[in-house]
Amino acid sequence: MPYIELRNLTKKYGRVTAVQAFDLDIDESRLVSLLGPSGCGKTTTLRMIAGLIEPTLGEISIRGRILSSDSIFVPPEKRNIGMVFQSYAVWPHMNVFNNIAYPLKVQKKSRGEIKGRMDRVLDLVKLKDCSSRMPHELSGGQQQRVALARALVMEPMVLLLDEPVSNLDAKLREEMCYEIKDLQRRLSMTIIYVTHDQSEAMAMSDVIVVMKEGVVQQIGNPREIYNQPKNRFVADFIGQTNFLPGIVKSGKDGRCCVEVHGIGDMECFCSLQEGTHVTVGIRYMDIELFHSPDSCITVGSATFRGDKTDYILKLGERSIRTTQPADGEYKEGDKVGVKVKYISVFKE
Amino acid sequence: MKKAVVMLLVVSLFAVILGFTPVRAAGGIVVQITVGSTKAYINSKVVVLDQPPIIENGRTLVPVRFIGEAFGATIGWDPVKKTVSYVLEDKNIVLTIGSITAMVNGVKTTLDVAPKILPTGRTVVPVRFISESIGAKVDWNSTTRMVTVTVAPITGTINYYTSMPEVNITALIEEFKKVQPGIKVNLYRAATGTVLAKLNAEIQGGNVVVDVLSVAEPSTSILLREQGQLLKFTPSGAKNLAEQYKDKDGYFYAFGVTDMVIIYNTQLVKDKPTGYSDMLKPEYKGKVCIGDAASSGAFTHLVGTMLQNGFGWDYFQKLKANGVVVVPGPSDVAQKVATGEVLIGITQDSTAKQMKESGSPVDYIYPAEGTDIKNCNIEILKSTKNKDAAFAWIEFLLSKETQQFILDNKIMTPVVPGMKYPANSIDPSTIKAMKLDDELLATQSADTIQKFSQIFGGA
Amino acid sequence: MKKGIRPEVWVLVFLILGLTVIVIYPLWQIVSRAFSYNGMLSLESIRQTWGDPLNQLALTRSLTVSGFGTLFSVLLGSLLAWIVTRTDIPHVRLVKTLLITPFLIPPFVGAIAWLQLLGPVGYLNKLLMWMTGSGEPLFIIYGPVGIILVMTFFSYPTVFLIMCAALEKMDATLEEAAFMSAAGKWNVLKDITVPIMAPAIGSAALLVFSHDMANFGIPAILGMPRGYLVLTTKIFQAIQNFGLKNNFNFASALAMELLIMAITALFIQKIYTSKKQYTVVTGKSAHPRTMSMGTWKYILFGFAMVLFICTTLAPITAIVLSSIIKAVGLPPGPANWTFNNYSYVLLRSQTTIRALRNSLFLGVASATITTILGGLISYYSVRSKLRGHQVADFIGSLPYTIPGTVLGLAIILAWSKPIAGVTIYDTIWIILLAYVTNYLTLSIRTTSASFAQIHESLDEAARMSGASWWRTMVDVVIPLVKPGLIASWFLVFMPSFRELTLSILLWSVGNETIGVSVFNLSQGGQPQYASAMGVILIVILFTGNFLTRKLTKGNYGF
Repeated sequence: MPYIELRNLTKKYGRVTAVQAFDLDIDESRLVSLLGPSGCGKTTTLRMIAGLIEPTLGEISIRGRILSSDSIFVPPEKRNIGMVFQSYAVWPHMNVFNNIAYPLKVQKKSRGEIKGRMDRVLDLVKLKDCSSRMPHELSGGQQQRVALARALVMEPMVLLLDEPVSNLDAKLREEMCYEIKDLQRRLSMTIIYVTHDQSEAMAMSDVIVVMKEGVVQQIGNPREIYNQPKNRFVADFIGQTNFLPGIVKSGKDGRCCVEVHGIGDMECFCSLQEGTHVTVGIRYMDIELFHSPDSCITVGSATFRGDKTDYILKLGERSIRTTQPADGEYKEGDKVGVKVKYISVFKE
Repeated sequence: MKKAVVMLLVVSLFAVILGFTPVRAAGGIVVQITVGSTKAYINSKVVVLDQPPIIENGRTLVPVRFIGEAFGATIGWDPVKKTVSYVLEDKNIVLTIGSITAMVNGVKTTLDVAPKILPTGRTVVPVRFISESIGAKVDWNSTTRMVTVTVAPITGTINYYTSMPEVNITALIEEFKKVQPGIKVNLYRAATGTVLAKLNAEIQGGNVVVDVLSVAEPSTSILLREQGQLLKFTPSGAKNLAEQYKDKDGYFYAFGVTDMVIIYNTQLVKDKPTGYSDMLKPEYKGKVCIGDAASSGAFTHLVGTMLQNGFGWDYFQKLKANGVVVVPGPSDVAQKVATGEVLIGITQDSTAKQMKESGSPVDYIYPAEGTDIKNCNIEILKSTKNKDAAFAWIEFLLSKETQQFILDNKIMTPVVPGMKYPANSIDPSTIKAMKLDDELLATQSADTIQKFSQIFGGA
Repeated sequence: MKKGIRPEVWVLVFLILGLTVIVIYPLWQIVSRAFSYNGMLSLESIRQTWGDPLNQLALTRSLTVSGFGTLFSVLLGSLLAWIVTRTDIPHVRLVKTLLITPFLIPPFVGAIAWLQLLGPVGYLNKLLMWMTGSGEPLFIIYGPVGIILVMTFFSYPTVFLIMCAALEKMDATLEEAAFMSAAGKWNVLKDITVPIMAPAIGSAALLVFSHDMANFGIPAILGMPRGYLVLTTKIFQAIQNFGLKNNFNFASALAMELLIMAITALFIQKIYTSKKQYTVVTGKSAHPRTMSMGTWKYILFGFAMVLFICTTLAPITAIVLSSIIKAVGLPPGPANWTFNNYSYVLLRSQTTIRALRNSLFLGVASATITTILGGLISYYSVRSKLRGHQVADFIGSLPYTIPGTVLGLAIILAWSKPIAGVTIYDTIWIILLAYVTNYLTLSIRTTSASFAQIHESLDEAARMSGASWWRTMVDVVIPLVKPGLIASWFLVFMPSFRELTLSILLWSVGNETIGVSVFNLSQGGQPQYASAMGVILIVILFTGNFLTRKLTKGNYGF
């Protein structure tokens, strides 16, 4: 049986549908990301699971226990779910120790047990020396770890993270992502993670759920999402993609030949009819360049980034972008030919 | 114990049978009379009767005046109808000579023995009947042939609302406690308008808590009477009062009189003013002061009275043109004159006297055109829950001792004749009073206030 | 867990029901009488009163003095709050204490004191006249200017308190961001601080405006003598006109004007503040920094001191002088000094002590009850998403807008009859009820300013940690709004302790309040007694405040 079951989860505010018929099974000890731009419903979904919002329709169960349905609603404090908020929500009037120990106090755990758990969790988040400090004396990163520790100390069934690293600087962000993933593995914690940053999602998730305007676009592991985006939106949101128009020239047995505007014919997996107008997605990284004096493709600009070089290539009035190894020798104005390794095809 | 219970039951039975509730006269009184003896005792003091009590039909009869006056009743005699009337507070008993039918507040009752006129010319009446009608206890000692009539002291609480200055009223209540220790007077004192507003709210809210009321504006009594809110009664002190101090229908009585005088600042005013016309003088422009007729009962009355005495609204228009300062009430006027903020104003005589006495640079005159001599009325609300205590309080205020006290302490001018005035005081009879018709004033008071507000409320 | 009614909902329902009984029922007395004439449903009362040009003039005047009074109070109070919280003036704590002292002076006493200072024969005027050789007083305190001035002096502490609490809780980074953007102090103030403080300013302004519109004492003392009447004085006159038929109806009809205006102002404030999200205390805390003002700080300090002298020291001096004078009108030289007035007042000490006890009880009880109720109402108004969550706030804010006289009468009309055999009329409980009804809005406004600044995620984190709604309130919410709750307690205690207008109608023997005592004394020929009592009262308030600060190490008290 799946650890978490979400069935037909829907939230409407008046005429606006924030989340539409969300269905998902989550297995134990998995990290699932809800990924999408702001307003896509990922936070609303998370808050429905937390119990902070009551769904309009649908059912939520964890480990077979129904938390929310048409007739049942378990309040958040009774769900044993840990949550880290985007703003951390560390209580300014309590020190680090009291902040983290609060869930244990509420559950009236014995002193011995509190000490034991606190020692472990403080160790886990590396805050052992800060336990008597007040929140305003901590850095952003430290406050975030307090929030994390507080969510973990109650040994929850599920951990919900609402854009936990978005307020940190890039390096710290990366570090925290590793730490969270590490924690998850060590504790075998089931995590639902909300983010708008696709590289974060890719790095951390076992499963990614891509959402747009309340509707699930695609569910899959990072490779699937990256390599086989189901629609243009997913392709656009994940990784870096160019989009060019194309027409299906022929198709048989799941394979098609597509004429890509400005590039030529390409083969791909799809089951579309001959003559269908399509949008073709080409990843920046899936393009190889070579010098070609007869080509109609010219280099528009080249930007050196240390570990790679970004090019903007002009195809007539269109332009596409590509990322090449840093030591590429193409300059602005050079005529180049492109070899595309792989395309995705979407119906218009 | 048992005897008392039996007596109580007998009296109550009487009450139930005769259909009235006993009323007790003021104070605790014990009257002892012996059949055949001219020596009687009232509260252990010897009183000589001009006619000894007699027994007829097993009932004791006593001289008519004695038994009434012992309790403070007002006794009347109609030689034509040959009826004797006893009026004590709200109890009206009428006996007819030779008849065993008597009327108590208009209800017929039957006596055991008829009152009669003896050959000596003295009229005697049944003592038990009279006594028990007013709620007294009657004991008969067959050995000594003595009748003891006991009126128990009154206890209880009354709520008294007034606009009189607190200092004065508190002094009066202190005196009252000495005479009637069992009665507690709960004082609510505020400006006339506030008292009336509170009263009005109680009336409208359906729960009138006030028992006795006295405010500075006589029209109030008339208005309340017209609204049917008052209790009709006749205090024994009423017989001393001249007609102008009593309500024709018996619903309220004046227990003092205040005069509105012209007060001026002695340091700043060189020419002593003589009357209302002085207030229009240009040299006083902006320095004249009166109270707001819309807020102060004293001034509502003053304005109304002046209107009845030849002063039209144009006088007030001219006052306004002369920059008159309008303040909430008489004491505010007096204070402003004392500080010199204004030079001349109209206020209550008691306030002016008290200020002058304590050293403020003020003096006062009685206006040449006539003084507004205002009754300070006191009345009982019909809804009162302690009539006896209310009667007692009013009896006290109308008593000679209290009236002298009122005079001595400059609280008001007394209404009872025969008071001793201090050496250099003005004889009240020399003050020229403006003629006034309070009944008429009452009907016009609302309009007076409106007109006054229009003149003074819009600048 | 079956989907039942959550405890929050029950509490809200009870709150609204309770408020309906204590607020709506008495107000209904007014409304129903406004729409009656001669005992029947009619618009006649309204037609006669609203149509009367004198009443219309009074309404305009009410709006004028209240409008300007509010404007100046808000400006002055906010400026002072900014000076105290954002600049580095010396002796900040002293300044803050001194600036709030007008709270400790009963307005009734204060207005008279101002008259004694700036009235036509007032001390200051006489001084100025002597200095300039002028024959006429230089400053006329009667009329709109005087009314606005005195109202401002009495209202600015309210604004000051509210703005101080709000400014202290504000997130410093918001201003710091502006500084980093090269904005000068002036720009930071006008572009960042003021707009973010707008909801708090709005709350304070609404409070002051309601109060000024409903004020009776100051316009009565300073307006009546020159015929400058406002709505409240007109209502008062109507109520007292015993001979006028339907006078209560007329008074109610006029009171309706005030009620309507209050409701409108409430709505405007709601719409204005709901449009903006001003959550500024998040889980990431940092304290606001103070700006260095250079030499200006001494000037600002001086300004605050001058204000203190004007608003507190001067009136107190005036009152003290008049309390030791033998008789009214005598020159204030030492030759005319006496302490008789004090001995008179203290010898009647039975009444005085009783009045003090009563006022103390009423002050503490009403402050506590309103803070609890007000806090609950604010919580729902600001936080809850339940339908009708703002209803309680709205209802609770109404009574303050009604002149005390009218409210007092409404309460008599509503509660003079026994209910289920229990009478509260003529007891101290009806006075307490009146106070709670009247001052509830002070608590609501103060605490909502605090609630509005605490981010919801702090509550939610507690819920996720297993705390029930009630636990969350106790462990997280209440500790964080504690400054607001404390401020609210004092904001209600002070006026309750020295209240006059309501108690003058509702008091009975044994239940006198200090305000009533002082007022009654001033109505005889010896207002010196009232002044003496007033001085005693001020001394007690100051001492009590001082002790409170000492005992709570400066955390509580003014």
